[in-house]
Amino acid sequence: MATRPENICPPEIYYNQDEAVKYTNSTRIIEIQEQLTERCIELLNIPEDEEQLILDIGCGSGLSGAQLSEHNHHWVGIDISRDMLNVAAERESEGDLYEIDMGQGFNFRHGVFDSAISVSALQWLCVASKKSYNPVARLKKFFQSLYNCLRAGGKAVLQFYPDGAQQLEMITTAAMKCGFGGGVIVDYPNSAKAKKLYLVIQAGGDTREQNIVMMNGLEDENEEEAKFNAAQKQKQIHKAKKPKIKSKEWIQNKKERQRAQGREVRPDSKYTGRKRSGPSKYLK
Amino acid sequence: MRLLSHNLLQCNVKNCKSNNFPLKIQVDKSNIINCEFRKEPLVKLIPKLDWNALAITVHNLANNKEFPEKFNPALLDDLKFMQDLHRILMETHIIEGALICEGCNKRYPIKNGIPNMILNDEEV
Repeated sequence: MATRPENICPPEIYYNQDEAVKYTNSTRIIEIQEQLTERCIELLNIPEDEEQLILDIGCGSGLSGAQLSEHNHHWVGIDISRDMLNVAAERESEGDLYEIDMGQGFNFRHGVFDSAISVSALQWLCVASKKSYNPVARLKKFFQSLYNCLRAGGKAVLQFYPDGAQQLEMITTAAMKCGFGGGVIVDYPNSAKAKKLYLVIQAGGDTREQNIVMMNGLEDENEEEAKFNAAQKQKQIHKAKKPKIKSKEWIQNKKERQRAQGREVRPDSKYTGRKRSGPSKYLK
Repeated sequence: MRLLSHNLLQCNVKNCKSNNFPLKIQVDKSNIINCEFRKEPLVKLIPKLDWNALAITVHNLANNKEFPEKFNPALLDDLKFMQDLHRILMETHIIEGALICEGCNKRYPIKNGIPNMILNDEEV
C-alpha cells in the first residue's frame, strides 16, 4: 500500500509549492476533487435556490471552493498550507481565505455558517506530526469550533480517508462528544480504491427529522467502479494461466528456471512429470 | 480578505474573551475587485452581520461617518446604500496589513490577502 502523506510530515510542509502546483495542473487530481466536492454538496441537501454561507475546511488551492461558487454559495476557506492558499489567491477564488490550523480551533462568531464541507482533510488531525500534538485533543478542539460556528441545525459533510477502523472511531467519537448527530456514509464500499467515506453531521437542531440516515451510499457501478472490476478480472485471468502445481508443465518450468540459475538439474526425459501409477489405483 | 468575513472573525487566543471582536484592521495595501451586484443575496447576508462591529470598522477605515450605526430596514430599499454596502462587504479586499486584537494585543499578519491566524503552542 502506498504511504500516506500524513505519516511523512506535517501538512504545512507536505503541501509545499511543488505539491500546490500539482493541484493546479493535474487534471486527475482536479477531477477527483471536483467529484468529491459535488458529492459533499449533494449530501448537504441544500434546498434548491438557497444561497448559503459555507465554511470550507482544508480548502487548499480552492478547487472545492470553485464548485461552491458555481452553486452560488458564499464561502470562507481555511487551510494550514500557505503555499496552497497562495495558489487559491492566484486563481482568484471568490471566497475569503484564512491560514488556520484546524486542530487549534477557529474562532468564527457563533452560529454564522449555514453549512461546512471538507474534502480530504480530516485524516490529518489523526496524526501527531509534531511532538506537542495530541490527536484526540485536536479533534475535540476542531469539532467544538465547528459546532460553535454552525447555526442550529447546520450540517457539515466531511469527506476523509481514515487509516483503519481505529481512526474512523476516533473521529466519529470526537464528533458525537461535541454534540453532533449523524453518521458516516460510505460510497462504493466494495472497491478498495473508489471507496469514499463521508461524515455527515448536524449541529443540534431537530434531530428527529434526520434525513441523513435515509440517504444511502452510492453502490451503482459507475465508470470508476467498473474500471476497478476490470482490473481485478484481468488479474484472475493472469492467475488462471499459471500451470497447476506439480503438473508436468509446472515441473518443466521449474527445471528450466533452475537450469537458468546454473544449478545441476536432471535432464528431461519421457518420464519427467509423468503421472505415477501408484497403489492408489488398486486401493480404490 | 474581505470585510464580510472579517465581520465573522474573533480573536482565537486562549482565554481572550473580552474585547476580542471586531479585530482592528491595519491596512498597508487594499484593493477593489469588482464583482456583480446582486441585491437578494446581499439582503440575506445582512442578518448574519454584526452591524455594530461593521460600523466601527467602516468608521475606522474610511473615516466615513455617514455609515449608519444602527441597522434600519428602510435602508434595504435605498439602492444607493445597498450598492455602497456591496462595495464595502464584497469588493474591498485587504491585501497587506494586519489584524490586531484589542483585548490581548495579538497581531495576525495579512499577506497576499490571506490573514495568518495560526497560534503559537502556548496560545492554544
